[in-house]
Amino acid sequence: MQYLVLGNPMWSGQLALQGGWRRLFWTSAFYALLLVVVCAVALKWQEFKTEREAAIWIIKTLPYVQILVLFASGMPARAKAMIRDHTTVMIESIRIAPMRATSVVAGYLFGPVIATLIAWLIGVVVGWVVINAYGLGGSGDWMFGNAVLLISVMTAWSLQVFLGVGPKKPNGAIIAAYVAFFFMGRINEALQCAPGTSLFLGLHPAVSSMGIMRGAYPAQNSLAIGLFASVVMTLFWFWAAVRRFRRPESSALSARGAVILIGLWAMCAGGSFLNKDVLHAGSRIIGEKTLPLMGMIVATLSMVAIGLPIAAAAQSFRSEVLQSREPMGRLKSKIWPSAIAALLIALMLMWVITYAYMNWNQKFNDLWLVLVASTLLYFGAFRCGAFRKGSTTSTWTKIIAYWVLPAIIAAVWMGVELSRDFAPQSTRMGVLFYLSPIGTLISTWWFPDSYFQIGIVVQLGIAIAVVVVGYWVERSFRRKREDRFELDAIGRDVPIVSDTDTHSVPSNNGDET
Amino acid sequence: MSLLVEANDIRVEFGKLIAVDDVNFTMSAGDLLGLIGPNGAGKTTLLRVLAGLQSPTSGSAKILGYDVRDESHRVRGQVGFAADSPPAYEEMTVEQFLCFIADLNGIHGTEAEERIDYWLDQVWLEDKREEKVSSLSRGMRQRITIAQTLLPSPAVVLLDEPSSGLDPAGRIQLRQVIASLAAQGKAVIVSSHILADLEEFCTHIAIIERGGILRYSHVDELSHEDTGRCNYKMKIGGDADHTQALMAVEGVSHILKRGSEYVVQYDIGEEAAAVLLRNLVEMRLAVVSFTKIKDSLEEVYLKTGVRQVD
Repeated sequence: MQYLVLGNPMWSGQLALQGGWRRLFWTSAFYALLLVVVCAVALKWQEFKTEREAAIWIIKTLPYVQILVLFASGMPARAKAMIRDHTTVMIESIRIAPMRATSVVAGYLFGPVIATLIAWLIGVVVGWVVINAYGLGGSGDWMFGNAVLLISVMTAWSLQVFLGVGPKKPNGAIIAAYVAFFFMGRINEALQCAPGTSLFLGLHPAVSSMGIMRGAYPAQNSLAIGLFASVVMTLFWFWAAVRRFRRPESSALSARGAVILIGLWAMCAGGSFLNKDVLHAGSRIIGEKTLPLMGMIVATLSMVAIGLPIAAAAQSFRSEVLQSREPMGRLKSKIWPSAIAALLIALMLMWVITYAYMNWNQKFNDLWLVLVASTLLYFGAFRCGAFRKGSTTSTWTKIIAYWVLPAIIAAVWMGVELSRDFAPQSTRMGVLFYLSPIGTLISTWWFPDSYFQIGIVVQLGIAIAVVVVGYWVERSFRRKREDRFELDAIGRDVPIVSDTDTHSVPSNNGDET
Repeated sequence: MSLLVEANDIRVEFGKLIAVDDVNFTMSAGDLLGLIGPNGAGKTTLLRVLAGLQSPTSGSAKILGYDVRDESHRVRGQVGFAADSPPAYEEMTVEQFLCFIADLNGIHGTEAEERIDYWLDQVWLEDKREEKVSSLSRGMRQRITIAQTLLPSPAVVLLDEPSSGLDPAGRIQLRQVIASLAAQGKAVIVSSHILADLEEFCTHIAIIERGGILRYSHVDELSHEDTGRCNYKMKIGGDADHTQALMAVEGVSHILKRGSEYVVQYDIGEEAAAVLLRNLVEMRLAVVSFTKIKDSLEEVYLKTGVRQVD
């Protein structure tokens, strides 16, 4: 029987799917051989004056290989495994099996990447051997850097499992995003000043680990915050994945989980402000007038980071509203005050830091304000939708309509006006532009002196209005619900007897059940 | 006797669509319930709720007295669910896949091997043990699904279209396997469109339409539960045509004559059959034989007027 029991059935299953130990051994051997051959070729054919120089080149290059192995190999392997389980409906067989959810999530976390982990370990060993063979020193840094890399990768991996154990088949967007982060160096640097984003997704310590492997340590507080955030975020995504595995059709996060996530993000954002040097480096990149696109990318990434908890909170809303229609008192867990409070705290923190560091990029700060206003608006809109119809804005069509369409319409209109020379280039941005966060961001970046203030005011005004409307909608909903339950309670006093109500199956021995 | 399955006011809504509409029933050990209904009637959703794969919008489902949602840790492993699309890892061999299922259910070592041997034998896949799942036909995969579902020996077995893809011999074998499950004291729910199969092995039948149970009864009582209408086949001696005489009997609504045999539809009900017989004798008809004709499940199903869901 070619089946090896590894303690966790998911690991055993994945091992069998990968071809068993024998296949894994040969794959690993091939990878090790490949690494050795590349190193040998580098030593032989590169024009290094000494072998030691070649060894230094290897140690400088190998961190890229390590990060490539863990992200670009590990994440697709796991995605493949999870997509396969969704496609074959095996995930449902796993759901009803008497396994602990923690074991299943751990299974998905490590099972599909056994080969990846072995490859990474081989890289660690090869690097260690090169360092010691040529007396380069810093083998401790090498090992520590690899450990930091693994810890930061765990954040991305557990987030991937969280996304994959839901009711729908995961897609490759998360993989593409992570891989893109590591191959677009300037974005990495710029990301460091996008509050909390790089910490939140485990990117910052992953980038830092590459420096550590070469003996270049980042600032102590930066490293400490990065590692701490990675561990906390890994645990959070793991815990969320466990819950989601058991309740796939419920909201992705519980109301409590969504609040914790927003709090963690705020904490990461706050933590990132502690590292002044990194912030300034990032802000310089963002502030470069030649790089407006970079600023846009960073701002968009920040929105993604914010969008995750907001989407989760919105889903929690929906679930709460639907549940609250049956038993009374289910709507106890109110997420929105906590979420808005968390966002406002983050906003205040942003302003405090801005004034503390006078050379902070004001434009980025303004952008950040726009994002918070947009977030509030989005949040309020979700809230209205949830209580009015019992469903949230869940389709991409609606999201695109809200985020992108106004910007496109306004941009086209602006293009028409400019082509007719109706207006000076720097001032004409349709009001519609400011209804869309994307539009406001564009106008803030390209026309900072014109309608920026109007954009912010419009967005904040709309956000507040929507939140207030949401409050009244919810109040009306609650009142109607209570009325209905009172009627139900009155109705239940009258016993209704119907032979179609309950169908009892007599047992085999003739007893009526 | 304790209940193995309890469905209490189960309701499942997908937006505006009511997939399961306040379904109630209970099952004890040895009960074998057949679910029939048109496509989209809610059979699969109901099975998924009982398996704990779908949360009901309201109501509750209990397995062995435990709520499948709130006490899912006690229910898991006690329910076997065979989905209509056979789930299996195509890259594995049949044996590897069943090993994985055993491992998943905490069955290891010799016990796992024995169970795998037993079920491979039961579903006639002993000779396919070393073959990859991807190389098997649809029917063979369906057999793997049955083996996979029953390997952990669950107390409650939920089978969604288990006969689909099976050849005639496979269907016969499946009927035997399902009957043996009931004999082992398990509760089995089978959703199927092959009514003849259900009629043969089920103890109870539920006809589902638009999420709600339209009819539910013991399989023997199903044919005349609502209408009270019965059919009787009788042979009357002599060459004369007795059709007019039979039509004169109160309660007789339809007569079909085949030679000296008459099939009479009697609207008053089974209990009044003695009255019918007495009337026939009083009319001095030479009744040679008198037998009640049972409606087939297909006839009962069609009589309920179940409509196809839009």
